[in-house]
Amino acid sequence: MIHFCKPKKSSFFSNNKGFSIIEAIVGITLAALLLVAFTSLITQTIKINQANMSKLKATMYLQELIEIAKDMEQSATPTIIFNTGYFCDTCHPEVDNSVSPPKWELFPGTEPLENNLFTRWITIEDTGNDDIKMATAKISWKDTTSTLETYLYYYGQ
Amino acid sequence: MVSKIFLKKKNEQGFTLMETIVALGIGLLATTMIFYIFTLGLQNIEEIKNTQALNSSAIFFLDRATYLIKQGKSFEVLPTSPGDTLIITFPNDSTTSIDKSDFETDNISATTTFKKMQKSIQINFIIQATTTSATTTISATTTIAQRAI
Repeated sequence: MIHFCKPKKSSFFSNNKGFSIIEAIVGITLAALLLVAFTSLITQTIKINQANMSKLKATMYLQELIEIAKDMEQSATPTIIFNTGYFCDTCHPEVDNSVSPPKWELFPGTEPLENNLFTRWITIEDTGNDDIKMATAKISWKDTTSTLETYLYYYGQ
Repeated sequence: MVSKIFLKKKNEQGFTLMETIVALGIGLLATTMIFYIFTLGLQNIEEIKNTQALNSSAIFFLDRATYLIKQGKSFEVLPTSPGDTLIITFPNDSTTSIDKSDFETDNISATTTFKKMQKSIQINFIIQATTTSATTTISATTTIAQRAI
């Protein structure tokens, strides 16, 4: 006599019950968690990339202020910034195209750049010596502010 | 006995049309989302690569331009299409030039324009890195002063 084993009801292949609601919820939650984690990773890398780009630009704009001050140090005759008592707190540079070659000038106020993403300004202060002034350039973007300082020397043009 | 076991009635109902449509819909939605997110991730990686290449290129160009302009005695701006070339003459009357070619590599193209100021050079540049799935552009203006002599 041949005996066949009756398949167990709980066997993996014979279970025809499908997923329970709990299994479905756990599965969907795990998938959602993975998707959220991956999306957040991508968003974070995009933000870091943009922050790096902003930092590079901010450094360029800040360095430019120092270079403009260095241009003015050599070009103005007699250099306005070396006049006794000259003080420029929170100034911004503008190009005067009425002369050739064009020259840089400083005006009061800050300078917004790239649709107000960056704001930069420069301060020129006395040092106690009329032939030496201190230039402090600053730029702010988002919640960051960077500063560069240099000294300007009168070469007696 | 044998026939009783083999002919035991099985569940032959299968899926209903509604179940199949819902399952296909969910599967399609999930596949689309996963595909979109992975594509975005790959594109993002390309953009980061591009930005890195542009940053390096911009820093190299600015370092070179600063080094040369600080030593320059006189400058001449030659219009080239597109953009300009800056000819720098040194105190010993030798000359060199800087232009968009200082930026360019296999996947980076550039345009540079120069404006001669009283004791400085204003530089405007647009650099663009292109790969198969992303294009990244940086445009900026900066100024480099001559060295006080």
